[in-house]
Amino acid sequence: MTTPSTTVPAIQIDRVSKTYGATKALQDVSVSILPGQVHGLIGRNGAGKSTLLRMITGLETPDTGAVRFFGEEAPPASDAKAWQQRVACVYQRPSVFTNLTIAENLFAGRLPGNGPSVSWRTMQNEAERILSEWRIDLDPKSLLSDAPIEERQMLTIAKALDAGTRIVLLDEPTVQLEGSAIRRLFDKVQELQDDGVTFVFVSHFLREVTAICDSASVLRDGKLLWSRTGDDVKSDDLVEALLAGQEQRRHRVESAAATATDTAPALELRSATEKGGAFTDVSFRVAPGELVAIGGVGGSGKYSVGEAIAGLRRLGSGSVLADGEVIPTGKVKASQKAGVGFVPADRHKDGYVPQLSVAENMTMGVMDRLAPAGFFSPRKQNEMSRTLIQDVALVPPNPALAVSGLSGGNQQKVVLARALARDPRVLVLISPTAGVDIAAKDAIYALILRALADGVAVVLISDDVEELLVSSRVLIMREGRIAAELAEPTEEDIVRAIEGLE
Amino acid sequence: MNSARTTVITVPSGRSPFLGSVVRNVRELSVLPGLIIVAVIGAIVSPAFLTAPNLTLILRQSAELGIVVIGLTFILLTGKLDISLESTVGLAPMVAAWLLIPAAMGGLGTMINPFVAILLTLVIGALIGLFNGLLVVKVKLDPFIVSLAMLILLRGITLGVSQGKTLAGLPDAFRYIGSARWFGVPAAIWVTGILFVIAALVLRYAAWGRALYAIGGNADAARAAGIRVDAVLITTFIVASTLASFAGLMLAGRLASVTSGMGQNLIFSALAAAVIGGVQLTGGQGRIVGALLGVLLLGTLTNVLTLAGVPTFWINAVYGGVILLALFVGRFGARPSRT
Repeated sequence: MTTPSTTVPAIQIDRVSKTYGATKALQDVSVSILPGQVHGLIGRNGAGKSTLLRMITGLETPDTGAVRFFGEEAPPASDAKAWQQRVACVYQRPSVFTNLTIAENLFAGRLPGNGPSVSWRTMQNEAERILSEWRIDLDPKSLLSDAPIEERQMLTIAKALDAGTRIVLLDEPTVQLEGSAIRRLFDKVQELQDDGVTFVFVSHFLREVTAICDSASVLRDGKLLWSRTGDDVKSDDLVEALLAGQEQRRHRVESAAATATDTAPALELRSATEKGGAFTDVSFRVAPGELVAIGGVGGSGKYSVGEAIAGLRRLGSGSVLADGEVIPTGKVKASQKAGVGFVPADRHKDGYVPQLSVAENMTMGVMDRLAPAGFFSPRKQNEMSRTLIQDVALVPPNPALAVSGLSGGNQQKVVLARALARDPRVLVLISPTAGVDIAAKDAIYALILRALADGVAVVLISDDVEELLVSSRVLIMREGRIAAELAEPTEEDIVRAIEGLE
Repeated sequence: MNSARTTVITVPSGRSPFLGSVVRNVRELSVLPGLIIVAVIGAIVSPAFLTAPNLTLILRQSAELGIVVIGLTFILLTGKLDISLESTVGLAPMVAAWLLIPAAMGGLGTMINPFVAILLTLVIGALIGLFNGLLVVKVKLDPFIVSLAMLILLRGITLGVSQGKTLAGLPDAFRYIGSARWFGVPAAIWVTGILFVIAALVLRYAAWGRALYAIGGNADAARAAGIRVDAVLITTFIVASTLASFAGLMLAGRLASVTSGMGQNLIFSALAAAVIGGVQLTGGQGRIVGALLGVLLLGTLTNVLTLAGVPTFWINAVYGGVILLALFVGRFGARPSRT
């Protein structure tokens, strides 16, 4: 530890070790976090971040070592209530009751009232008080399912603090959020920090860590690499510590299409307008081997455009053409046959079938080829998936493993392999590196690069400005229309265009 | 961050495909101890139990249930439900028989060709499945409520058509599949066995069969992967109802008549058999082997209860109790299989 201090740390992790079977998940890790600090927790997948978080939330007990809160020993693992009073955790998908009202969510587990009867009036008033304190413009009587994800996260924090918790863990809270929501979350974190609330912040985005954390720890292979406070956090050490032994990340992809713009487009949208209206009059062309990125705030219709190309949405007017041929809209199979491969925005929801094997998930879109007469040979399916597993460098390279057992980055590789299985001419990728670690990110970018070199037209749709920067041609959507086309943009160019600051 | 990741790495599952398949089979076979216990009890309480005629009887009496369970398993794998299958068992052969037999015996008197009647039975089944499928898939109604309504409606039509009577005097051709014997064993047993083999092959080696697992596991992902989810679901309902109507035909052949109560309460045994056999009601998990063992367990149990002389009024109570026990064993004896 490099923080000599007279104050009692809010969280003290004292020489903690944890072993699962043969895996040493944590080895002799010590971290102290002072009250009012925002502490970044960084590490690649499998570095031990989850295990450490589970120790701090009481979901796991250390084999050796101890966890202390404000100098007191942590409560026993069985006492869930005691843990909840000390620590609250906000996940990227807030665990809340979407079928209940906002007020009920705020008071779940501690409904106000006398004995068994619930006082709806007290709950209503209290909920209104919390919402106004947090400047959340929502009706406490409305259902939580009507609230956007950012508000749900805010509500989770609000609830925890209202119940007296002074330590909040944020586990990749920004993954599902867009720019303005992230800034609001960060503003709130800083405001609460001034009130003495302690935060532990887990993120894959170093920019976010350097932006709000005043101390940080880096984990690798279950060991604490370093733990720092103050300005050191802002230094390049962070990147180096994380990337040590790793190839430096490649940024801008120089697309091979600079010379290819005069060739016939591999993909073309002509005044594409969705029935029901998520997007209107969208036109653009992508040449073979060209990369086009599409950005925009949430609700700008950028995802819907990708889904329409993939055949998941039907056009009201206009058309999508692949290699000059109009694709029937609203039919996934038709889009696939026209050469479109697709990686959806949310891999958990649309990407894979968790209990099925890697082989089955990868070949799901090519069953018509594997089984032209209806029946297929599992041996052929395995052979095909082995090739794909090599292509995407899946870890572990086992076609029989259920996808639910893979890490997030490798699950995403399975989804990408599924898109590549038909040898697509056009790849539509929505946030392909969201929530994956840096190593997987590199692997995915390498795959995109190779596809481009093979002459595949790639449409990369993303919320992440860093990801948009990968492309030298960026389209920006606002309110369902293409609002700007940027060539060789800087980060600032993109942010200004997304926010509409011309 | 996936908190389960660290633990998952340590599980060496699926290392060898062979070992994996054995492990999966063993999980499915968790019904087997129950089946053996029931059989041992049967052998103890009655010397008649372990005789060829009695064992054949068990299989013959399980045949209709087995065929309904095949269709139900398909539907359960997709995460849907169709409890109206039992009414289809009654209605399809009833309408065919009604058109088949003379007016003097309660029929309509059209006296159509018996082969046409057989075909008609299956077509009625298919149409009911199509209707159920459209209501669930296109109108997006809840499958439980839809099939509950259909269960009542179809049973009502059966009663209305037959005026509550039993239609006897069926021609031989119509009764053939339910009454013939091949190589000394009832044809119904052969046919049911073959259907189970086909179902197992379809679920393992056919694109359609694997699509059922994909849809039950994650319908959105299946759709995005290019599986025609709606079409697969509707065909699943059609296949299940057609199988149910075929079961009805076999039952009519066995009873040599068509009664208005045919198939009543069958769906509860069918659901119990599938679930005991490891088919998950939430979809995406379970295998036909398990469902078959579930059918055999229930068939053997009924037989043993009768042989043991359990008072008629108590048979259902014991039957229900044993189903609960089997679910317990299945839950704690082995984890449900994944594919």
